[in-house]
Amino acid sequence: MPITVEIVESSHASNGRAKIQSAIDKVFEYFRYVDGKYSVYKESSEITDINRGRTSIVKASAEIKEIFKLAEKTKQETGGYFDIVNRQGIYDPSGIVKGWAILNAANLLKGLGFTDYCVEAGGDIQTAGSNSKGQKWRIGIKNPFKQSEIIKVIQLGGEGVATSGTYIRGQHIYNPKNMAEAIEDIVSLTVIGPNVYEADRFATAAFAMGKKGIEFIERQEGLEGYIIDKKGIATMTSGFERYVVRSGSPGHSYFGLRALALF
Amino acid sequence: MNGSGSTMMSKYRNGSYTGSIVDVYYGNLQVQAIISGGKLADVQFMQYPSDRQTSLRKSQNAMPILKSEAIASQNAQVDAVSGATETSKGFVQSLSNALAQATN
Repeated sequence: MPITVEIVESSHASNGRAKIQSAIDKVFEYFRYVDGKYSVYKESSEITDINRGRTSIVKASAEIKEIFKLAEKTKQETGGYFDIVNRQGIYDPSGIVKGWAILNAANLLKGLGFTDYCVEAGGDIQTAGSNSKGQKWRIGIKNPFKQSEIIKVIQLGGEGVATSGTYIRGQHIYNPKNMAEAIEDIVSLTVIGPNVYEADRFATAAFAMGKKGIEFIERQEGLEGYIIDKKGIATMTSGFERYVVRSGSPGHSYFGLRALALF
Repeated sequence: MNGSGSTMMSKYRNGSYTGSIVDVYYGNLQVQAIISGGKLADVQFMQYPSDRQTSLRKSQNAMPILKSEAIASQNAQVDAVSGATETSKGFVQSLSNALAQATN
């Protein structure tokens, strides 16, 4: 499922079922709006108007200008490893729009008075408060070699998480500083950040750095990461483990103690 | 993994097991897992990536040695999953698919 919105009903507030449904509808409406504006696959989107030369960035909407500004800032902060210009020379801001839009959707819920929710779209997630069991939100990280499996469980209570990966058949990520070079030494990079916007833009940039991407994440304050190479060896930043839920640790919900180690 | 009893279904056999040597960018890392009471009790580092010239230089930098591990399948209940999605070309493309499904 490409999009999941979960809002926990709170016992005290007037957040009844009808309010929750209305809020979820608003979130989907917002994502439809984002799709209509930023999809490079839509002829009628504003980004396509820019790419086709029907309008310019200067004449574009305030929001589009803001996205370009954020993209440029991210490009500078990552030494050029984040770049919304793709191999075809087209502006494709999806590497920053995704996290930005999910965070906006989460803030929409916050503005409606909700304190416990989880918004997931395209594998990137923003959390707030606790899940329906009153625990931190349990997020699984997909096994890049077998996507029906989870290889790590983290718990978040307000942070955001994003995963960049190339394990979907036929898809590649290229180094913006050397467009002929497809990133092949790593297959997945998960970044935990103070929110999903931060996690997403840095996961996108760090992936383009290949194996060294995890060192870049280590150097950034407030970010933790988990990178998986093509051989199935994972490397984590020094603060990553504080988010990890250990299988077999007491007090957590899990199915048994079975662990199949891949060696 | 060397030693007897590599893949465990429900319990680990007691003893110590020496893991294979893993290349962690600037040297080799090898750990020994000590099983006690059927559970992983301790991990000893057999090899640090500090026994080579280049790795020693890197160790002297601010970068700490990052922990590595082989990925392992987990059987766990989760609220959501993070991973690359069907169209990593962009969020908006998978969004289109989701919206198409939602309106059916």
